[in-house]
Amino acid sequence: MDKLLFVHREIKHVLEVLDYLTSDDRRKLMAVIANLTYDELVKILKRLYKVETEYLEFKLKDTKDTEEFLKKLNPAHE
Amino acid sequence: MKIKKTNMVRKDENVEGRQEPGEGTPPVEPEAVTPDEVIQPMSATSKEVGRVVWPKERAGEIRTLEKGIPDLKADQKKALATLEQGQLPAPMINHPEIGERFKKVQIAQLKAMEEAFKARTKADEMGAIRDVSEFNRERLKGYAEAVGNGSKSILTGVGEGVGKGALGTIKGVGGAALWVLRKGGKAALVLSKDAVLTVRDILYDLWGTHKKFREQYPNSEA
Repeated sequence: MDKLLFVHREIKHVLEVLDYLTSDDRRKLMAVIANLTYDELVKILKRLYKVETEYLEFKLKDTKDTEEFLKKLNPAHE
Repeated sequence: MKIKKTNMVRKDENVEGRQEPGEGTPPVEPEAVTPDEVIQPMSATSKEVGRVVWPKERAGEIRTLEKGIPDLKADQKKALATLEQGQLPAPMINHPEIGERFKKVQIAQLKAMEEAFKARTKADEMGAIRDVSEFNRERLKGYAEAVGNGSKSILTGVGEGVGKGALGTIKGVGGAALWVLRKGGKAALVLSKDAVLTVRDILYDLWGTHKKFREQYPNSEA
């Protein structure tokens, strides 16, 4: 696979994880970066990786907090 | 939903004796065989009875998510190192798959919350409304902040047009919860196309009960 294509695809995949972006947002973003150089794309990917892991870490905490809340909400379901 | 086979023997397996809500006498819930097993109550949305699953399956899935994040970080680091040298990295973790795993757990939790809420309101309506409303309100505030931070970073690093569009979903922490619900939960808990309807329906129900609570207890902080 061409490395430029790889980076484009990787950016697209990361954006799919950021589920607060609409498909329209993602499409616009991919259009914005369509003609960037390889180095510029890698820089963007680096930033997006950080956004992705921060978001997933937040979601993990939210998931665990919700699990604890569910136990308190209805102890019979524990 | 798939029904898992177990060796469990239930005291009451006469599911034909169950009635739909609103018909004559209330439905009888089957007893749990062991104290630490959960029987999924019949509801208008579920016809499966006696399935022991949610908490244990979810616990396992949450552990998988937890282990997955350090792996993802390590994968990202390796990938960037390789890409910065102008080379293609080795096969990597599938990002959308991780996103889907989170979505699956969150949907299960929302459904569990709805079921638990319905069970609680029979005994303690206002208490249940208060607890669930307060929890979800704080939760949505957290999402508004997380989404805001992510959007700002995208705005800074990527595309001003897209960043502003994403930021536009945040109307301020106080208004975010209500805005999110009115827009079908796009800024928080946005899930795959098929799941959005389920999440939005549940969130609307919960918001509706919160509104009812606030009307009855206008001086409450919940």
